[in-house]
Amino acid sequence: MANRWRYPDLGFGIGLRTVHFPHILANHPPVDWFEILSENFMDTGGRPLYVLDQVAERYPVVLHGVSMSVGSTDPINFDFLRKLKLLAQRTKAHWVSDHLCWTGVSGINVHDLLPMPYTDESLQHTIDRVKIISEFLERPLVLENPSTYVEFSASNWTEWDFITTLAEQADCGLLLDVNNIYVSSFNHGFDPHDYIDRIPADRVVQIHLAGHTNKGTHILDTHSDHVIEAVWELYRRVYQTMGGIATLLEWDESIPSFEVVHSEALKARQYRESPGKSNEEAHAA
Amino acid sequence: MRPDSLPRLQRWMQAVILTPGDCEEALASEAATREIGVHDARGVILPSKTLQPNERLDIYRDMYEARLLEALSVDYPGLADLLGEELFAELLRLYIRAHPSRSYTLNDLGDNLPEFLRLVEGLPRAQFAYDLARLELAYSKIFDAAETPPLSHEAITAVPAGAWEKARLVPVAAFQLIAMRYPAQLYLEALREEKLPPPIRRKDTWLAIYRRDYAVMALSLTRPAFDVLSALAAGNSLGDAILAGKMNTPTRHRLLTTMFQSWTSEGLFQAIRTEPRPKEAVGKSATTAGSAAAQWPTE
Repeated sequence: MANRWRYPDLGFGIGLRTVHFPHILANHPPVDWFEILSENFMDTGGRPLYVLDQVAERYPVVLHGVSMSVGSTDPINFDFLRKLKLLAQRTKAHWVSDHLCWTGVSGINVHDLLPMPYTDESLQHTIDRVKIISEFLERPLVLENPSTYVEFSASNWTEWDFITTLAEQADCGLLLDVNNIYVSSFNHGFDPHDYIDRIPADRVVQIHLAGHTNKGTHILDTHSDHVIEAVWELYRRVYQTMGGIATLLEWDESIPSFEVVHSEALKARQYRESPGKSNEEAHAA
Repeated sequence: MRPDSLPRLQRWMQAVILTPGDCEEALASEAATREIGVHDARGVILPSKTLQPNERLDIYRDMYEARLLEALSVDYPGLADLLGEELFAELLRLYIRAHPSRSYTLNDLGDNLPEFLRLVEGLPRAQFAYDLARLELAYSKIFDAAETPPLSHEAITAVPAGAWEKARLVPVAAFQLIAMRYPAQLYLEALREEKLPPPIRRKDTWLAIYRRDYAVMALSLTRPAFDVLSALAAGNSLGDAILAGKMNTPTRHRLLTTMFQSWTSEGLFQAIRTEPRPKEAVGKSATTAGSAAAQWPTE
């Protein structure tokens, strides 16, 4: 199923990381596409921007950010958005994404993807801001579901209903992070299949996959390891439900060689090609 | 405003994350209780099957400190090495309390660290630490500065001989001058080469930090050369800049032949302006260099 904006299924991509710059420039490896961390390139005129220009010349890219603070009650930072828009134009990015979260208030940035309370008030607040941001960027913003570690007693929405309603009313796209669904389902005790089944497929333009760190009592979204089998199975379910969607492997801690990261991303192909368990069987498991 | 309104919840949660000590202390802090009282706060976060609300909040509190300390450690590896892991981490904890991030990028987080060091009482090797931190900050800023093409040979030869005295040389954007009491660059060079740092000995040091082929470089300068470059970076004409260098005639001659050639071949300048500059603009530089051109540490 194609998304409503007909954004392409770019195939299997990886995040562009500094440690891989020399390999990419020297070998031009056959990667389908790269995801760029926006903030790493918005304020540099040095080597990072030079490398980005080379990559954007040769590969499809999308922009992914962590500092838009869509859910914050601070004013929208239009200086940030202006730079983001310029970067998107420079790289000819297919789309621009950030997270359903807030990163700080009162002018302070905590530099974390802080959780939203899922209330009517925060839903309306976020809808209003996403509309403004999308209009400014002149493209539909794409929002990712973050991993979360707390639940607010004030919440009167499930996360999947909140994000679905937000996407429909603000007319934005979704970046479905399958690992984050798994992490949050472990931390909060919900069924990840319920989450996937409720997300409107025609709004999902990208998938994230990553490894995490299981601390026993909770899971941290560390992007520090291989994707676990349970997350791959969720990915298979997403494919069965929604069809082929641009898929990106994130690896941000203890980053191994380029080949290891790329081959982990390409594993996604086999979960698209083999049918695996039916949805009913997976649900029962 | 309701106790669980979105602005209040966000201010409360941020206060709990930023306040040092354990979670109970953070919940009882002035910043947190201004938003939600201790009694009501106990009901804001739900427990999970395995964690109590405070333990869940601690995940964010721990990640905040770890993330910011990691970012600063990347920007200040020399200072970390000088102070040692424990003292460096304690210093950074104090720093992020005094200077929480106010930018969307972590690249700006350490901008106030050198000046913050001057306020820390009892810091071992305080002046050297200050010089080292200023140099590391300069390296970071030059790494990310805008790329501007250096002056071409043709542009230099196109300037009529009689126009040089009034000509103004504009440094490239990735250019900064720094004066130090210690040769801190030798310490960083040793670290980069994984060698033992040299003994820390007092020696007035003047450097131009710049970028060539996207690599950050440090050029050692004499005091007169530093003064001339500072004056040029501040927008003065070459004639006035040479006067600022307070040189005797042989030194001036050497500057105009050897040093100038060296500076241009290193790509320190991006343009030569031969037209007069508006009076009010002289002394203020539009380049990166201008803000740091005359930095001289006071003991």
